[in-house]
Amino acid sequence: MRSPRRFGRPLVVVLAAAVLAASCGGGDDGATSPTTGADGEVQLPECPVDALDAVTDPVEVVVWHTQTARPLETLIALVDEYNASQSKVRVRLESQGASYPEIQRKFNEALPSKQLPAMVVVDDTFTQSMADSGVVLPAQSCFEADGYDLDQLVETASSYYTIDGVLWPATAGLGNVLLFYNRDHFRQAGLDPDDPPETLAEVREMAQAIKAAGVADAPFVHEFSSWKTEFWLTGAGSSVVDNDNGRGPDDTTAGTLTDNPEALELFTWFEQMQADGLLNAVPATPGQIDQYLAIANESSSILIDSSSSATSIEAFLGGQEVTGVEGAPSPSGLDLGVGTFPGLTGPGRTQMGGDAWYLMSTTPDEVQAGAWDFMRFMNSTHAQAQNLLGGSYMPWLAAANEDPAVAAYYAGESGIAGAWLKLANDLVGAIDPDFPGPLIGPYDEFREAIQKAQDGLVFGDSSPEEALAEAQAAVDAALERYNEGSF
Amino acid sequence: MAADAPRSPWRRAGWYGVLTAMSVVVLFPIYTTLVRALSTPASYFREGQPLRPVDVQWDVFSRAFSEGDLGRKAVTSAVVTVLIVGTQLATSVIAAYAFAFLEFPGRRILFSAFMATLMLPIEVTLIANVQTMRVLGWLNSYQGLAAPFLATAFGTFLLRQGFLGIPPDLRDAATLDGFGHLSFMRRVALPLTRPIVASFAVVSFLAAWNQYTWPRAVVTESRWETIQIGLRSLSAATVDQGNVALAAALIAAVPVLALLVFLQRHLIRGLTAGAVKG
Amino acid sequence: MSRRAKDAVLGWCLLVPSAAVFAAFVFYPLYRLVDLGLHQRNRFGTAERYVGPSQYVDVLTGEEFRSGLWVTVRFVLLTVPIGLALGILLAVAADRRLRGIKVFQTIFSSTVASSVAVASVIFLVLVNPQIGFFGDVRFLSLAHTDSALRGIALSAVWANLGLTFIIVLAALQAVPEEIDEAAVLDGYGPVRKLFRITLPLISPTLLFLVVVLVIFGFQAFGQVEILTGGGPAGATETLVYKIFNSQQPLDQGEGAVMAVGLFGLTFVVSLLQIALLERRVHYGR
Repeated sequence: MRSPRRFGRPLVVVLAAAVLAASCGGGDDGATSPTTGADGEVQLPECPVDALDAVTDPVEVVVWHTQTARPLETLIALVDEYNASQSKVRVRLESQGASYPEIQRKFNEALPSKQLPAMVVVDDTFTQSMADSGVVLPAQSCFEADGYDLDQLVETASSYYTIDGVLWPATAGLGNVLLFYNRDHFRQAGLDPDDPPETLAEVREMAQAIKAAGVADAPFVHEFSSWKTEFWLTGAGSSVVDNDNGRGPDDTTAGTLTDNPEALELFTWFEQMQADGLLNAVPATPGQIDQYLAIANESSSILIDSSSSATSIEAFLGGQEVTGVEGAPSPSGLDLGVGTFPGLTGPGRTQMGGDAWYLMSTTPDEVQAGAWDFMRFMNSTHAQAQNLLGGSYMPWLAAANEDPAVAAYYAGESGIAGAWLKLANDLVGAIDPDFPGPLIGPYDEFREAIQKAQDGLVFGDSSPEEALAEAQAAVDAALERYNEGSF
Repeated sequence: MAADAPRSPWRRAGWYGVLTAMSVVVLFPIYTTLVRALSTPASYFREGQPLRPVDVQWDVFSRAFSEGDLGRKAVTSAVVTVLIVGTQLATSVIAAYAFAFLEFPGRRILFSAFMATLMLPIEVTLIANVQTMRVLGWLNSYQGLAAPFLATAFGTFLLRQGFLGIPPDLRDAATLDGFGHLSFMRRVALPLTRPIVASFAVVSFLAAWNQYTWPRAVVTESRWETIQIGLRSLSAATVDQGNVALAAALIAAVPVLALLVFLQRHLIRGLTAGAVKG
Repeated sequence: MSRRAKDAVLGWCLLVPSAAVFAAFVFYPLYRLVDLGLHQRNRFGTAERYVGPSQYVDVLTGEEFRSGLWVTVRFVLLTVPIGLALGILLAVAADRRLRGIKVFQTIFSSTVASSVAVASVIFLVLVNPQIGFFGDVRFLSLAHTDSALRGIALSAVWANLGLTFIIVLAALQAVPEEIDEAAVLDGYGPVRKLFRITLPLISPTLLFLVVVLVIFGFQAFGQVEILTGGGPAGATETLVYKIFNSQQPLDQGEGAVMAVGLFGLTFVVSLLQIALLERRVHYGR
């Protein structure tokens, strides 16, 4: 049920489009999937931007999300601001739990009966399956209806979220990854506190030094979510599925995890770190923050984790009153430093991350129009800046990065988190627009496969080869089922 | 069959010691929860997690109330609980009456069928029942939360036991006096079994208030969450302020604790009926 | 109409409300589950196909169900014997005439007030590996696959203490004075009296309690969700946890089969209970 890719003979294409449109989710809603006409041009479904004009009573726009902590507070503030600024649309946030897999499940469960809200905020991996679900209105049509110049968006972001020239999410908060480390521990171990590790090999060396100096028992704490593994692999230029990491013209049919030297190298690195007692392994339980707590209570020294927790960490460590001077000790007594992402072979190469907001086409036109109006607000420089300053999400609107408040923030003038996020933003800018990350339909099953494999490696007794082989088998099965489509 | 009080004051003191030690163990989790609820998280860790509150935040309970929207959730829980308890009483009383005092074809089979439902708790039938709720549009609604529990075989069984305990002579006398079933039920059967009915109501309240799995399955909007489900979302949403969720947990336990303290007799009778013979 | 006929009609009518609820929310769902178990749906819920009883065989012998079953059984084994023993211990200790004994009895019953959610949130800060009081007790660590279930079991044992205590105490109090006095006269020391006389006398109650605790154990879900989310590496995913998370169209067939499997398990345990109780009734009297 993919958007038709082949531009063959006109008749075949028209027939194929008709069949696919009929079999893709919800026969009566074939109009919400882009179809390719006989001349090869993509027909987008219409975005009802004018439907709000005739409305007298406020339209309710429900948004499903999984935000917590500071990002949640920021989101609530933005919603309140929007609601207060006009009277036609009332946005209501509905938390669907604390993890992306959970909101994914909720979304899937609601699909058959189409009991969906106006918008769903999921993680950055949903693009292909949203496109194929038949219930999503591609934001491309709304942008075009507004005459919006899509070049205003950060290039790596728009290329990541575009499939065949169609941009799907209506807005996206960009996230990336950061290295957090305890500078005191570095000093005590005789390491230069201003020189964080830049490759995994260096992480290992420094962890060894810290352990040898008796400063921390298991210096490197790592929460084993699968997305971090994907960052390492994409950063090293390694494809995890065939068909050009899912972005090629053919069907994606198999994983490429076995016979993958980078994957093997990474998994072996995990195994080695654990075997040498350098690793404090945290299982990826949704809604927990144990890896941050390990840094907070100084039982570990080095952490690689999401940049979107920057403001929360800052608040948690009591750093709200901290002056913006980088390196100044925060009130909690923790001297936290931040570095760029240490990759397999070199620093600073990652994958796109963060969240993406999708418009549902199953709601009445006024609701869709209301949701799009809210999106206009969320795509404004002001909202994009706020999302960064309070929520740690980097803007996908390029101009927001030039905003004076944002520039000052990046310079660390209103808290150390700003300087941290500058680093993360640099990472976003450094993503290769031609290799921004995999595009997989059953991405949730792919992630689960990697998760299970890692868990077996770190918390069980699989070897790296076994773990990868198991993951591969699961990914192959998931792709096969996905491509089978409707039976 | 309580053991007699020991003669020697030493042995008495010994038993008090043992009982106190056991109490400390039983109450320890609640104590630490209270301590942590009142402490500021960051300071608490810095001090190495002592057994007393650190850097007390007295407003944590009101914060839990507002951030967790506990007021609304408590109301939702209360409405659903009253709905369930009230309806369960009604359906169980009349079904028990039928099984105890009336003769009708298929009585044996029907009773077995009723008892069979005890083997199909909501956890087993979850997937199908959620689908039913979706079709009926009863997700996020009082009826959705209460519907599967409007009748209960446990209640039917319990009340039937109670009715069967009424001496047959009373029954005959009532018939002779011209009492119809309704009068008999109102004037004789119910008053005589009032303790059991009250106990059942208390136990039913306990079970309904504490429910987790079904509300979790049927509620997708936060404003429809019961207080138990609210605990989970709150603990996830305030993961950086651990004490707020703990305060909320203590608040959630208050109604049932009150039940325990004030209605202890009824609670105990309800829980032990059927478990203890004689 | 004769009296008997009127009674019969009334009898049925009085059963209708309960029967309607049971039909709609117990028996119909069972049928639906069996049916769901025979089908597979695609990811978007737009198509369904019949796969037949082979899905039952595949799922019930498959890894998901077997691991869920093992975790569930292991959970029951971890919570029931210890819970029962502790309940008996508390009840025996509190079953004596001492001034203020009622206070102790109330304290021991207090955990009956804790719900699954409350107990789990409380224990989250007790056994959390990073910040828990007993966080570095390796035996109970929620961060390791072999011990995580024990940490969850601890919270369940604590939560069940109140109920177990209440029921055992009531049973103890129902034992006639004469038996107790006779045992003392016959020279039974307290320990011997407990094991040789008291416990056997209250064994029907203990059996009932075991069955209740076992069935509670089979239903374990909330504790798992709050404490470990099923991890690490799925090591604490009980059957109900797996069933709950199989509501997406893609997983419904498998989930339905697992639910039917759980029903089978509960059915067997209930049958065992009935059989054992029947024997007691026949021999015990």
